[in-house]
Amino acid sequence: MMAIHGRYALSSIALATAFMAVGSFGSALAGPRESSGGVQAKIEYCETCHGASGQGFYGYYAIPRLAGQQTGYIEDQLRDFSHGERHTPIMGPVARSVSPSEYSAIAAHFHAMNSAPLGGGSGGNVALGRDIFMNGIPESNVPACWACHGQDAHGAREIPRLAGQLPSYLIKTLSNWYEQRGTKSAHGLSAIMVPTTHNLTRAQMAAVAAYVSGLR
Amino acid sequence: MKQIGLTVASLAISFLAAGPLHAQQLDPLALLKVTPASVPDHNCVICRPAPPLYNPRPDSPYPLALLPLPPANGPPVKNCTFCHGVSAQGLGVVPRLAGQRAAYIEKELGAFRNHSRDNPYSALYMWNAVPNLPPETARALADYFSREAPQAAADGNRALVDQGRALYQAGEPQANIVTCVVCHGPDAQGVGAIPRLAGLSYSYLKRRLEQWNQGYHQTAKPMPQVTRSLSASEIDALASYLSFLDDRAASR
Ligand code: HEC
Ligand code: HEC
Ligand code: HEC
Ligand code: HEC
Repeated sequence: MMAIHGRYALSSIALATAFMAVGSFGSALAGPRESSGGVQAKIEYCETCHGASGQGFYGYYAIPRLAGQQTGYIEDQLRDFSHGERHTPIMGPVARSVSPSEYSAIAAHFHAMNSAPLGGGSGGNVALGRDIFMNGIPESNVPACWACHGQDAHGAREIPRLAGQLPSYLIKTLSNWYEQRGTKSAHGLSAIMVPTTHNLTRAQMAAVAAYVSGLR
Repeated sequence: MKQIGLTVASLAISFLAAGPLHAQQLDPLALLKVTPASVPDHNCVICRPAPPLYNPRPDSPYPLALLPLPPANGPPVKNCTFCHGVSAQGLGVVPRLAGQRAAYIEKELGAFRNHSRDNPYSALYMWNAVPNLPPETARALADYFSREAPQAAADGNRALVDQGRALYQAGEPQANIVTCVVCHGPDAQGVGAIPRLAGLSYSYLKRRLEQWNQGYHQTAKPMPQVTRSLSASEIDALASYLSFLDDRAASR
């Protein structure tokens, strides 16, 4: 771990926290560039990718919105990322750099944010998306989404907010559910979405994404 | 202020147009010399060396005869290739444009125009190159350069390539250093308005990564935040690694 050689970009508090998180201690140089450390520095790290107001970002990979996301859901996902139960090329190592004792402060920070949806479009049919969200698709065994995600799509506790989420992230997530989250999530909740994601067509996914991504 | 500068310039031009002047009567150059004091801000068009557009210096390594003609009715690329190189591969401090993302080029031209990209090189060279560029022309130039085939500068320190690759690919989460892959892509080819980094020159990359910590171009989100946690030696390694990346590997 190269940070042992002294990293002046972070205050000694941030360093101490980082070292504690990985169970090693070292003397390090404190430096001028960053004043706040610890959880605050971690949050700024998250915001580099997820956006300064948690609104998400279109990179090479779609980086999802965290603003207004439910705290229970954020904590669940951090746990799943760090245990390798939700597979992603990016978030695994990121989540392992966060101490579980920091989860609740970080989750509360993003939950309190209220930025406008980033937009971006999905090419889906908004009216069809609203219909699926409100009524489901009985003939293909797709339940009404609002029953769990709420009428306003804000979610609750461990059920995620979908309102304002990036449409391309939603489509990717729905079409890749089993590969990414499998069924063996520590909290078992990821399994709930398996049949639904299996029964939705690509066009129906794009339609729901178009609808919920525009909600505030 | 700008008004005054322009008036003086047009005065000078009308004097010139009126035919040969008697040197003792009025020296248009002397008239021009008054301007810098009265027009102190950067809007002054004539108080700094203007970019030598179609008219390179006699000692230029690129005599006019060697410049490719722009395609008929095409964008005025020579306004740009004089500095950026005949095939837009970059020259000295001037970055490569060939193969850069069109949306990114267009965005940067806007940033030069509104002066939010404000480091000394930008202010000295690019601010003067864009004010009269209509948006359609800016788009056409961006499109033109994005289609030129890029060549890797390959001028970094080879000994740092492995360290640079590791940082680029994985970042260092414990130290709050983000992976660059998430935005610039696995081969650093960029996407949308996120620039291609593969094969840009070492010195340009290094300068860019340093500038954000010096307080320049803070509107280029999220890069000022990205570079805050990078040390000088990490910047060196990243710039070295990227300069060698072979663009031909990156499919578009
Ligand atoms: C290097 C960029 C990057 C950094 C830094 C980063 N993330 Fe992420 N994050 C991502 C990407 C990309 C995804 C999408 C993963 C996927 O494809 O499923 C993601 C997904 C997530 C998710 C799942 C969201 C959802 O709707 O399911 C959460 C929660 C999350 N990140 C929290 C964090 C937190 C907390 C931090 C700071 C400790 C952080 N991220 C730092 C890139 C990043
Ligand atoms: C029975 C309750 C339930 C119903 C009905 C339901 N969901 Fe979910 N959904 C969940 C739960 C729980 C999660 C969180 C899974 C996890 O923790 O991995 C989730 C997660 C998601 C996610 C991932 C969000 C993110 O940020 O990564 C999307 C997208 C989603 N649901 C869309 C839908 C859509 C569209 C419908 C309707 C067609 C729907 N859900 C119906 C319970 C439900
Ligand atoms: C007088 C020399 C000069 C001329 C003429 C010039 N440029 Fe530049 N250009 C530069 C320099 C120097 C830089 C580097 C600025 C910096 O370091 O921030 C630059 C940077 C750029 C960038 C940013 C590249 C990047 O990777 O971020 C773009 C885009 C650009 N120029 C486009 C153009 C276009 C289009 C034209 C023609 C209309 C043009 N330039 C004319 C010297 C010039
Ligand atoms: C969250 C997305 C994101 C991440 C992560 C990211 N970048 Fe960037 N990068 C951008 C964007 C967007 C721009 C364009 C900024 C502008 O000028 O508006 C950019 C611009 C740049 C430029 C300027 C290129 C040029 O032609 O002038 C360099 C160099 C760069 N990034 C290097 C890196 C490196 C090295 C890393 C990893 C340490 C990195 N970036 C991580 C989004 C990102």
